[in-house]
Amino acid sequence: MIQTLLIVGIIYVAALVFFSLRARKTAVQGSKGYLFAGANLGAVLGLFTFAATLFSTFTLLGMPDFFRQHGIGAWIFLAVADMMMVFGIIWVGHQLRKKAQQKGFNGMAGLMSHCFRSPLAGYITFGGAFIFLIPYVAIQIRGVAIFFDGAFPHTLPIWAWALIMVGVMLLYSETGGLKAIIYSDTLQGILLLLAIWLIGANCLGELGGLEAMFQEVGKVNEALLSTPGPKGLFTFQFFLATFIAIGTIPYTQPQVSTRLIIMKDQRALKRMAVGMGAFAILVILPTLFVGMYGAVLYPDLSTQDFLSKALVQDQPQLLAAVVIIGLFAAAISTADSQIFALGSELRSLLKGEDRRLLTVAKVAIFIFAMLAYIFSLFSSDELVMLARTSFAGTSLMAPMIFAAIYTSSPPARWLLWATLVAQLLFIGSLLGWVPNHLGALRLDLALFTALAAIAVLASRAQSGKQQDTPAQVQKAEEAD
Amino acid sequence: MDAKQKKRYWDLIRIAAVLVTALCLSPLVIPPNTYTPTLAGMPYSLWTSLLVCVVLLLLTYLGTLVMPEE
Repeated sequence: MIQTLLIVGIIYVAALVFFSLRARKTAVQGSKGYLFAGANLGAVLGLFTFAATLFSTFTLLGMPDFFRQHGIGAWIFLAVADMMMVFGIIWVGHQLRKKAQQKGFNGMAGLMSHCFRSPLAGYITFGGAFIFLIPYVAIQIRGVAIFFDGAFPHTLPIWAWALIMVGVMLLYSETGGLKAIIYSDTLQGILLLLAIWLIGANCLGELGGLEAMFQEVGKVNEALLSTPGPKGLFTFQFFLATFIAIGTIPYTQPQVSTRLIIMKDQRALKRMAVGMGAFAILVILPTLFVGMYGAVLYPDLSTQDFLSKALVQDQPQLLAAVVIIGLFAAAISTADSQIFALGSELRSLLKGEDRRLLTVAKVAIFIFAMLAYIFSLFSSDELVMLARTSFAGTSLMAPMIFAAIYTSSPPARWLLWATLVAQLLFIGSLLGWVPNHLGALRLDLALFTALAAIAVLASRAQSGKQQDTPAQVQKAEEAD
Repeated sequence: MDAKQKKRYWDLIRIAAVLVTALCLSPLVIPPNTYTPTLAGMPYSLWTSLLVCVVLLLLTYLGTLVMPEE
C-alpha cells in the first residue's frame, strides 16, 4: 500500500511542481500577476479553480459522515444550497464585476473601502474573512491529518501530517502565485471528482445498487430517509440559514469573489456558472453513496474510523492510493486559495510601492498558514458543522457588500457598525457568551435578517443625496 | 430576441428560481418523517430535492441566455 501511495504521490507532487514553474515562467510581473493571475481567466480554468476552491475536505470527508449521521437531508443542505449559489453567480456576479471594474480591484477589503469611502469597511471585510476563514482552513488541515492518522496508524503524529500539508501548500503557492494555484486547481478538481466517484460507485455496488441501498438504510434507521433526520437537525430554519450562508459565499469569501472578478469576460463567467452547477451535483452525489454505505455497515464507529474503513481499508490498493492523494489535493486546493486570498486582502488595505506590498503579502500568507496550522492542532473533528459556522460568519458581511455593489453613492456608514456588532454577537454566541437563539429564531438568521433590513435603510438614506463630483470622490479617498 | 423581451424572460427566470427554492423549504419537498412515495428506491425528499437541483441548473442555463448585457 505504502509503495502504491508513494508512486501516486510522487506523480502528484511532480505535477504540482510543473504547474508552479510553468506559472512562474508565464506570469505577468507585479502584484496584478502574482495575486490575480493577470485577471484573464477563461471558462474551463475558471470552473476548475472555482470548484476546487469550494469543494474540499468539508465535502469529501465531512459530507459522507454527515449523510451517515443525519441522513438524506444532507443533500438539501449542500446540493440545493450550491445550486442557489450558482444561480446567484449570474444574478449578482455581474454586478460585482461591474463595481470592481468601476472602482479598480485589489481585493474585496479594498473594494469595500472604496465603495463606502471608509477604511472601516475594509477592516471589517478583512477582519470577518480572517476570523472565519482561519478556522475553515484549519478544518481542511485537520481533516486530512486525522484521516492520514487513521489510515496509517502509528506512522506519524497528527501534527506532522498537518505540517507536511502546510509545507506543500506554501511551497507552490508562494512560488507561482495565484496562477500556480489555478493551474493546480484544475489537476486537483479532476482528481477529487475521479476519486470520490470511484469510491462512491464501489460503495453503491457493495450495497447492491440504489434501491437495495436505501432498503438496507431503512432497516438500520428509517429516520435517515427523511427530514429532520435522526437527530432532528434538518429543520426549516437550519435549511434557510444554510441557504443564506452558502448562497452568499461568492461575495463574502474573498478566495471565491476574486475568482469571479478575474474571469476574462461575462461570457466566461456564465459558462463557468453552468459548469459549476453540474460539477456540484456530480461531486456531492457519490458522497451520499459513501454516507449510506457507512450508515449500513458502520453506524456506530467514530468519524475517523468510519472514514478510514470506507475510504481506504475497504477499497482496492490503487483506488485507496488515488483517494488519499485526491483528499490531500482537495484539502490543499481549498486551503491554499483561502490563505492566499487573505494575503491579497491585506495587501488591498495597504498603500505604497507595489514591490514592497507584494513582499508584505507573501510574508502575510506564510503567517496566516502558520496560524491555521496551530489552530488545526486544537480544532474539533466535526468538519461540516465547523465549516457551516464559518459560512454563517462570513455571510453576515453579505448585506454590507450587497449595499456597496448595488448603490452608486456610498451607503450610510452606520451599516458598517451594525455589521461589526452582528459579527461580535455571532462570535459571542460561538463562545457561549450570547444565547444562540433569539426566542424561537436562530441567532445567525436573526442577525442576517436585521442586517438586510439595515442595509436597505442605509442604501436608501444615501440614495436621495446628490452624487459627489469626481473631485469630491478623489478628495474623500485621499482623506481615507 | 430584443432587449425588452430578454429582460422580461430574465425577470421570469429569477422569479421561478426564487419560487423553486422556496418550494424546497416547504412540506411539499420536506414533509417531516415521510419517505414515500419513492422513485427508483430513492426516498421522497431526496428525489424531489434532486429534481429541484436539476430545475435550478436549467434555470441558470436559461438565465445565461437571456440575461441582459449592460
